[in-house]
Amino acid sequence: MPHVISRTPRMAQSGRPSGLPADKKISSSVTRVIVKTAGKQEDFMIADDTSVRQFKEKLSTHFKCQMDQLVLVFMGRLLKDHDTLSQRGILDGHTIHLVIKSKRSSRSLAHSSRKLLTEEPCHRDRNTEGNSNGVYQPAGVSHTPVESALLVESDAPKTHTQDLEVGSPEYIAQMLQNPSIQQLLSDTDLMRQFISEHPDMQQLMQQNPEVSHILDNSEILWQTLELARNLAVIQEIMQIQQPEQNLEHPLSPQAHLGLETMPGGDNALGQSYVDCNDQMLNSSQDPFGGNPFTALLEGQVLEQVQSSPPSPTPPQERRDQLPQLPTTRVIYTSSRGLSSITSANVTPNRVNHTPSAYATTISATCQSHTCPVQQPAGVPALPSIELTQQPQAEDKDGTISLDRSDQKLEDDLQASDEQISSQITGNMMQLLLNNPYLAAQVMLFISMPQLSEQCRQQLPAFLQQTQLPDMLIALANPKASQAILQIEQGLQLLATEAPVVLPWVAPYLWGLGWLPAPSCSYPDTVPWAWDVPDIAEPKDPECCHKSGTVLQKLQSLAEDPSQLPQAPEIRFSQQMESLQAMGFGNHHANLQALIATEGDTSAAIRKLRRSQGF
Amino acid sequence: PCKSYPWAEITLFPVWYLLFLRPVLSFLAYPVSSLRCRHTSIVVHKDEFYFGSSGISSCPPGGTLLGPPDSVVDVGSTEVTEELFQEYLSSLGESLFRREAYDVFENNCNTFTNEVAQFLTGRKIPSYITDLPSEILSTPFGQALRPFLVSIQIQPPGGSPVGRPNGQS
Repeated sequence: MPHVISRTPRMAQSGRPSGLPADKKISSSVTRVIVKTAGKQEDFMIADDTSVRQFKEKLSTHFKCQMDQLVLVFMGRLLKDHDTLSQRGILDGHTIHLVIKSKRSSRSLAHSSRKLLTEEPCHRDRNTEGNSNGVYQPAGVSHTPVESALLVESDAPKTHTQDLEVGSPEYIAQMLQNPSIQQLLSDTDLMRQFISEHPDMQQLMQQNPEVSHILDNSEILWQTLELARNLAVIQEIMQIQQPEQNLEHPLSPQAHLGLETMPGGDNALGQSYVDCNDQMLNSSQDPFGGNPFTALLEGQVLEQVQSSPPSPTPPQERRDQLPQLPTTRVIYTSSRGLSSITSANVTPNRVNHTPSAYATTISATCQSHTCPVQQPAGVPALPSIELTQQPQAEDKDGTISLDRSDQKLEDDLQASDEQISSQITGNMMQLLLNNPYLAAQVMLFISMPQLSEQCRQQLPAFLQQTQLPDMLIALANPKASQAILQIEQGLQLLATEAPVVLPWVAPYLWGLGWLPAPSCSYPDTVPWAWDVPDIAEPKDPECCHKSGTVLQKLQSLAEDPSQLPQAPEIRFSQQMESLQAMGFGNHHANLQALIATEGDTSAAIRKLRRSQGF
Repeated sequence: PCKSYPWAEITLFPVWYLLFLRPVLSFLAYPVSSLRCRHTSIVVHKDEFYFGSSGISSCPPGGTLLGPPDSVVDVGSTEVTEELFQEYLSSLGESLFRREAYDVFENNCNTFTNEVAQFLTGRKIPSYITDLPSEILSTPFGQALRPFLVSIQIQPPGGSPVGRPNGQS
């Protein structure tokens, strides 16, 4: 059988002869299919042996179009006229997708569609001829003109899109006008929580404990907010300061900001554009308040800052002008991965109270490190401060923690995520170390590709069942611990499948004290005794057989977890009866044999006879 | 990696979906505990397609400003050719996935990815992705923020629109 990657239609095709009685139901002559097209769907009742062509005829009258406009897609396969629907595996209740090609059979964009007209008739021929090259080329060729057409046409919409990008001031203004945002912003406590509980913020605070002082000082926060809002000024500052070199002098006449504090920081700004984050963190000792900027520039502790600022005038002015608003940090994305400068502490003179400088990274313009950056008006620039004067307060997310427990949960989950992996790993490693025999078995386990694959398939279902944050686990775990997790899961699964698996694994695991003695209903240990020789003797073929059993078992588990609780006695009651009738009197032995052979009576009989020494 | 089977007269194109766990609604993600926003887009015929508040867009895979995805998941293969797919997208773009039809809860990027994946391969996107809106709405925070969320524009920049412009036949 050639190696065809085929999906359900083929499988259904081959599966059908073996009979799917469940699907046939009552009316085996008429099938109800759902036809989905362009966002709507309708039911159609058709006869079982309808050919695709006939179906298309029906559809063309229904949708009022020509037959050659119709393209039917089922499970990703194009349906050809000569097939019958049942051949393609279309059963009751299945959905067939329909695409009604436009009359010109052209693509959406006007420009390049001519080319496609010539391709369209070729399309079906290609399919039938199976000329793979023919498929690619026209597709490739037509792609580019369409692309260029796309680009051409999208100029206008593109700018429109860009206008909607979060970074733009208009958008920010729009955002701020939203009353719910204003409401959120005006809740001081919320904003404080918001900022302080952002993980990045917390990281920042760990590295720079002084930063936490910032948040506690509400005045500073207010200042920050107000100063941060003036995006235009920030840009101006940046442009002004960027070309300058490191200034020794605090004042830059161009700054006209009135603050001696500006220049140095802005220089740093220019440089810091490409500096990495550590520097930013280092420098973010304190952003605001009077001439904390001095302290900031020198990377000193906040305490100095909070002590009476040397030059009281600017901060005073600032404070006067500041409305009573809580802090936000301005987020401004400049480029991927780079922190960008957003807020600047601007002089009070320049503070326009335009709500223009607030942005959240709504549109996904930011990478994980988009930071709202505070640019403190720096004081006299010292050369040592190529440090970025941007305290990096990443509150890109308004962690408005209405629900504090959620916060903790988030952190907990993140922490527990690592914990889980380390726990499991730790446990497993210990276990393996203590039990070299078990370790050998585990290695065998791993080396059986089919089994590990089964386990892998099991894993998502398993996780769902256990209601773990499957996403976190699945995605955040390093591969190694994930593999080990799978193994552990698989082994645990086997343990719960005691009746079936224990005959195979138990002898090894029991001896190591890993598996508890089977708590199932066979207290009689005698049967086990001669199950062991079964396993011990011809290890390989038996192992394979049993592994096949295990695999099947696992597979059936995946499909139907409800099978689990059924006791073997019930499942095999029929076989038990037949065994009894044949004269195998040992009830327990029969049961064991049946379990080991998965209910295969004849195999069980062979087993019993062997063990009884016939 | 298109596979062609000349003897079977079919050519298969692989289909993937890209999953971005990075917060699209970044400020939303953290307070709502473990909910990270899951943005998905579908990749077929060497293009990435996604749905945002300005309609269906396409770009080279990983070409939005979101950058490379957190995971690339194989959905399967499809026989649907590129041109047919464009037709299909246009029809979607005029009906179910018009620009105005974007609803962050009911009809979002994941809805689109799910729909297209089903068309292309018959398979769906895992439910933990498509269930995100209901997860959010089940928290009081999500409910509170709902009016705001509905009003904002969510569109990863970097793509170009797909589908017939409004009003054009």
